[in-house]
Amino acid sequence: MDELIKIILLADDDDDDTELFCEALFEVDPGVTCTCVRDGKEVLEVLSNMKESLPDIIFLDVNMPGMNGWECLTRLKEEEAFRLIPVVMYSTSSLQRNANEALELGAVGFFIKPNDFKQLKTLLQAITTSSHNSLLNSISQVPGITSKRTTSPS
Amino acid sequence: MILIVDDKPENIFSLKSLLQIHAFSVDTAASGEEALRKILKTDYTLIILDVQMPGMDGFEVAETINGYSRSKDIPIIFLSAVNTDKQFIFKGYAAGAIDYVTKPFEPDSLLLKVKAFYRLSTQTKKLYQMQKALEAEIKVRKKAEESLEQMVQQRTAQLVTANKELEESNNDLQQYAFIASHDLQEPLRKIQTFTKLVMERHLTGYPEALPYLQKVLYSSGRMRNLIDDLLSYSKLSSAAPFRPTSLAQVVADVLYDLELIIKEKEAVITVGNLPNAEVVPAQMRQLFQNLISNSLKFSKESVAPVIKIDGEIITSKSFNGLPSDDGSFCKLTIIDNGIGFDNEYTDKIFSLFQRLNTRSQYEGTGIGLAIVKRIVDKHKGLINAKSTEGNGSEFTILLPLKQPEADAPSKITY
Repeated sequence: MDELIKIILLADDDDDDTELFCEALFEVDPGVTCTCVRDGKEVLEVLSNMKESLPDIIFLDVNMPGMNGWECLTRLKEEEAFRLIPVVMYSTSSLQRNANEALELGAVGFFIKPNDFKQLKTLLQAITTSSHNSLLNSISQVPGITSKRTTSPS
Repeated sequence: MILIVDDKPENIFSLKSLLQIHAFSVDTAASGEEALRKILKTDYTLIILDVQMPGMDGFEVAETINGYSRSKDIPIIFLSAVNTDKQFIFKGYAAGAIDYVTKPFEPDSLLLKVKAFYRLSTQTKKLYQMQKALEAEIKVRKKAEESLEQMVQQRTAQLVTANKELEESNNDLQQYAFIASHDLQEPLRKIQTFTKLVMERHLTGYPEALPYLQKVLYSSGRMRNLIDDLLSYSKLSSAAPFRPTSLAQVVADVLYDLELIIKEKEAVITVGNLPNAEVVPAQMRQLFQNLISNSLKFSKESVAPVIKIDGEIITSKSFNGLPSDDGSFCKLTIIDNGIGFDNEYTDKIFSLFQRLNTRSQYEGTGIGLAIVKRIVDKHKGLINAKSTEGNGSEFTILLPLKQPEADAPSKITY
């Protein structure tokens, strides 16, 4: 059952970024649902309540108050029920170290928050048009993302 | 002073007169007991002791004198009318005397003896005083040395503490710089994002607003570069491992990254032999990136940039070091034909935020060469820049080929 990405869970405490994300997503594909929460703890709570229809992909901001992105990612990968949901870490940080760490912890990609609305749309376009199986391949084509396929040599 | 001990006043008188004529100062005692009392109070140079006395005789007196530590070194001449037997003479010596004169004595010969002993005793006394003085001096010096050592220890401890505090505050500062520049990026990104959004969506019908928003974007772009550079500068303080690295590969990578601008400027870049060295690969990359982009940036307006990068192994960490294949340093040079700079600024160009050109002529944050300098410092190397204004510039870098804390040379990075 290789279905298209239809449900996104976004965890970010920055309202502007959340708004932009949802706006870009709506422009790309109004049919995709996006659930927004503000920290890692909420991610775990929401997921427990979503049992029937888990999200197809999770976006985690690295710096969140309370449970931050790293902690949340680690917890997700420990939970049998959630560990297969692909996670994209996204952050203001441009540290290569963070990108590598994210991939090591099991994220499918690390994305630096773009300062360009178009770039965000390109990323979401790639994600919403891919299926579960082709997800990794499609996001690795997006400029600005570090994924398992595009890990830079340095 | 000479002490004469005799129970007969006439003997004392004659001897005293003889000695006084010859300028000796003389004291007298009429019995052994009196002599002992006087010896306790006064330092005599010589004692002339009559053997035959009522009460304590001369030998008893001499034995007692010998027992006192303050007087045991005073020479004694025994003087006696009787006891000319050798046995008595020996007894005299055993008691600590130095000489034994029998009466009636020959004044000249006694005088000679007195003079000789007097001199000897004076010298012994002087020697003894000198020894005391030396001992005291040594004590003083030892004490001084000890207190000096203590002071050195204290000072060292203070310095160690101060150094530690400095290190900590330095770390704090670097941490602070890192976090500050990191957090500055956040609002800046939003300024850029929303400005672009407005430009794309809401400017129809307001063409006059476009240049203003472009200025906002331009300025925020400049600020972003500044923050990025500051971030890389503060990141340089975190520990990074040295690895055996091919510098040729590093330069090749940098040239690949700069491909677009190299093409655009029609730059001609030649790369000579570059050695392998133990370096922090990412930092070396940044070093070459900064130097080469500087050469590209500060090119003359109508002349295509020509950049020569070269390296050789040299014997010593000196800009005049002689080339040698088994040397332990490498010399890297980057020579361009750009606008150069006034040699007057050579010392300044490596300082943070130092710019030599106006912003409208040449873009830049003034951090690039400071980063280069810092990387060279972290590698315990040296850098030097030469130029004639308007006639290109030349950067020379010396790096040790090996670093004390390098990773095992099992593999070469890249």
